[in-house]
Amino acid sequence: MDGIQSVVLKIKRQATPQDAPYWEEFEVPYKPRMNVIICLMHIQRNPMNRQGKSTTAPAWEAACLEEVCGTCTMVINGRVRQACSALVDEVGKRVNGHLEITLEPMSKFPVVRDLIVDRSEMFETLKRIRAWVPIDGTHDLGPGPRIPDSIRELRYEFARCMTCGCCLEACPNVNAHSNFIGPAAIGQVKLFNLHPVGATLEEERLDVLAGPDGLTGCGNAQNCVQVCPKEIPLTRAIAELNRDITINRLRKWLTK
Amino acid sequence: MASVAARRRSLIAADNHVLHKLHSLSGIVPIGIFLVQHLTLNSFALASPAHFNAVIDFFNKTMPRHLLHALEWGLIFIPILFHAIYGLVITAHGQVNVGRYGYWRNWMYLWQRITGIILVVFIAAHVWGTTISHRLFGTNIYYDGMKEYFSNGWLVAFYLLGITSATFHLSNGIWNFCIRWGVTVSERAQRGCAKVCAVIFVLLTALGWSALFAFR
Repeated sequence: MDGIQSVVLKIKRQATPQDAPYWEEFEVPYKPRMNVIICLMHIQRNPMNRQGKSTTAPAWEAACLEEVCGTCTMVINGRVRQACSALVDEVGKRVNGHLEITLEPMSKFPVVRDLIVDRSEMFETLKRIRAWVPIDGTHDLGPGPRIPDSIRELRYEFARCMTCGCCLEACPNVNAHSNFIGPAAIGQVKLFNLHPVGATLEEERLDVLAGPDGLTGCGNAQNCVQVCPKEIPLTRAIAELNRDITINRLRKWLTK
Repeated sequence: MASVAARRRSLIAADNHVLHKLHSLSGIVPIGIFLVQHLTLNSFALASPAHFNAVIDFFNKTMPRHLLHALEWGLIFIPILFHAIYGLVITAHGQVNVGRYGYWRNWMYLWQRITGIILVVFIAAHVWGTTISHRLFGTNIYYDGMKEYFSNGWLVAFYLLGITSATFHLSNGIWNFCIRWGVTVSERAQRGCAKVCAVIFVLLTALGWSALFAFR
């Protein structure tokens, strides 16, 4: 970018889960087409803050570096996204000849250290909604049933979820006062309910979503679809499951 | 997101699936239908004071007392009280984040809650100023009495705010209802529904405002 010499990173840091967070600024030389991870790697090689004082390297996580694992999810200039696909040219704010970027850990998960958060709650949720196709048994069950192409296409959209946590971070109804499990799990319920064998657990999944931390918590702010890096039709899953739950509840009430 | 342990401890009303569905439904039937009926009957004042007074007489004199009270409590007071209290609980469980995520629907989410809170205050003041005052102190609620009531410009402004909040809350509530009951599923259907709701908002607001100005 014209005349840009450096990138200034304002990073919200926190040494341990118990410590108070604080802000520290770093300056790294600008390179065209660099991303946020490259900036963080630069700081890691020589951890020195903008005042020239030697400091600890900010902790962060990354694995795939191609926006499919979700590990490097953080709040970049106020918006949640993956650091690996956040190009400095696009996210940086131009201030006096340099680009400015603020990095914060996601606020809806416990902070482990600096930009690393503990997202294990999301994996616990996947277990609770039985996010699998039950095929384990004592004998060979043979080939699975064929899935119509339209269903397969829709399932593929939901299957792209990488449990990154963006949708939970942007959701106004996922917070410390609420029990809402968040949009990601709702998309996964749809994914597995749409599978002919996965559907054998449909009622159990619907019961979880009809429970205290289920779909009731959704307020239709629809931030989830706006921030989802994989463009998963989460609001479609929410509306459709709202219907599925109602029908399931009525059927149970009238027939059981 | 609360931890699993905290989650188990805080199972309060906002999490109740059936109550939440009823909250959504009660906003349309009976409250939404009542709002449309209420604004329509008030707009009779546009025809003439006599038309409006005939409406008041119908409820005050023609309709049997016990039926009036049954309808009032069953279809108006209790549903509105439930909708208001449960709505406040839902609001308390949310978070405002339009600063960071200023998307259109997120703003609608916020306005739905703001208008809801305005309506709790407005409806309380409105019912106190009309029905309750009439029954307790015999305040005149016929056309001439209401005209005097609305001679205060501040009160008219308060009513404009209240009526607009009510029409917005209902119109946007219809959009929400259609999702919560699984009527509009696809993005396209939800966008179309939003357009229909926008038209409903404009029409209802026009009806409400014109009815109010019949008393000025």
